[in-house]
Amino acid sequence: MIPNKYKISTFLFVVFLLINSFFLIKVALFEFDDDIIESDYTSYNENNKLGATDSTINKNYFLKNVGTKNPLGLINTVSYVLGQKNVKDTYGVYKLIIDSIYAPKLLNFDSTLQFKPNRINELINQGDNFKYASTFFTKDSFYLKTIADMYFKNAARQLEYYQNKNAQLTRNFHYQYLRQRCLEASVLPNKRESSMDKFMNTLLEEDYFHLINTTWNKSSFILKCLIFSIIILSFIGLVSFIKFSGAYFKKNI
Amino acid sequence: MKSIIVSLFFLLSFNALSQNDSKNHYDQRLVKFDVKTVDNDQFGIIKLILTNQRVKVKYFASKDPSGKSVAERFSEWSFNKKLILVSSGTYYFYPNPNNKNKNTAKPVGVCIDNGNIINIQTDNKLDALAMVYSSGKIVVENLKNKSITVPNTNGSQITLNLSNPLDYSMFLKWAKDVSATIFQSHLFAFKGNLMVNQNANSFKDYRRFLASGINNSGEIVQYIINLPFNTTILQGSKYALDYLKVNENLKEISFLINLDTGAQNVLDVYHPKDGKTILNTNFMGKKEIKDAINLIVYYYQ
Repeated sequence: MIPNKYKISTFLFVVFLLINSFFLIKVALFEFDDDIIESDYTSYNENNKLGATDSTINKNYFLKNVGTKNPLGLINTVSYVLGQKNVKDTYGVYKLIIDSIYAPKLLNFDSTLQFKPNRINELINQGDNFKYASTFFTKDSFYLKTIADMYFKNAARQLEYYQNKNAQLTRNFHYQYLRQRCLEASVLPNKRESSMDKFMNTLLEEDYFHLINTTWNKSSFILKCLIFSIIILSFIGLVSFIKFSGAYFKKNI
Repeated sequence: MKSIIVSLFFLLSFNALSQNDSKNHYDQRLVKFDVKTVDNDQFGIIKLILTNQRVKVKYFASKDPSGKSVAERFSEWSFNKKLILVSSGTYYFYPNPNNKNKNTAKPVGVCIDNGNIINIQTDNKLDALAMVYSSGKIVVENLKNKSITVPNTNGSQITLNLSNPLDYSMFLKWAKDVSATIFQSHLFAFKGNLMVNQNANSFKDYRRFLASGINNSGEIVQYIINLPFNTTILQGSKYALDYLKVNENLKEISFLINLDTGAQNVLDVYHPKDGKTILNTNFMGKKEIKDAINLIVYYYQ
């Protein structure tokens, strides 16, 4: 027959173990989504290298014959257009093309679509494509780099948007991969941090003053009571465990 | 004989003046300290007079391309500098969620460090675009205004619409050309108007602000306002604005921006006479310089 005081001690010890193993169970049950991103680096069509020959920069004509993924075609188009004009305003021609063709396509995105890593990956690929071209064509480097940045920024903005909608995306492999690629291009998607993220950051940074101050200020009355109860229960459980094991060893040794 | 005596007098006076200047860490007339009490809480104010360009600003936005941390860069740079104060700058985040090493942390929003591009993506929630020139001047623009004016290398002014991709690239190129340091932060007041929404975050924490304005003598004055007690953004901003309007009676309040007091709550203020750190809670942070991800430094030159 186990004495009552040991029954209480055992119960409190079990409570202590349950509370402390909660986080371990949560971590153990966490599922990672590690599917592979398809490699679909699409280069521009070789036949379109010559670019558009329309000096009025007809949007439909440009999109049909050059497309937005064709740096060489763009350079040739600008050269052709400049050749038709008396005043060689390179900036003006590029501004016209960027504002009328690239900006409507790249300054926004369809937020009604689901998170599709391949779609964002393709944007980053095109960013790299234009960035690479900017190192070759030094005369047009500034404009090509601008378009590259537009691709990267669109990708980063999409990552921001989807992560903002679903904070769990932070732990998704696709998201992490795309984010890293944006980071390499010096375009960092701004990340919304959940309260738990901030709590963990502060804990890992061992900034205990800030941790206690913010936790106390941010938590509601109920949460304060809950934290207090957990601390008390853990403490009692630990004391009971020490008492119980002490008594057990005393009895058996 | 008379001219020799006059010359000698001038020489001696100059010598005495220069001795006095070298004896002091920095010119006390250009840096003032104040403490204000509100609702039984005290906060510290450091007033910096920038008119004759002896008081300068330097910002360390991120580690350098060779990987040297902000604290190391600051330590090397400050070796022979007459420091006035050092404070943590803007917010930061960890780009890799699995790596919480402070060396990997990056500043939030657009960031250019001494002409080196760290991040070109602007954060829509942060309206203050702070530009620190290599000459030691800091200017803040409101990003909601879209267009900003920056001085060109040839002295002319260029107006850029930052929502236009080509203008934005031009802005990045300008920052590179003039070795500017750019960062983003929360804008709490601009041109005398409080910019904090009445429904703003009600979370209470320690607060620190950087404010700038023009006094009645036409001098440019900047303030570091340190609130070492828990208060909301709205209440803290009101305390700061009230101080600038009522106590300082500024002719114009140019801006009031936030400085991070979270996990990098760094503030070291140096004594004008001996250059030692002032040990007063109103002029102190909770963390050491080595814990900072970015730093704003005011120094005397």
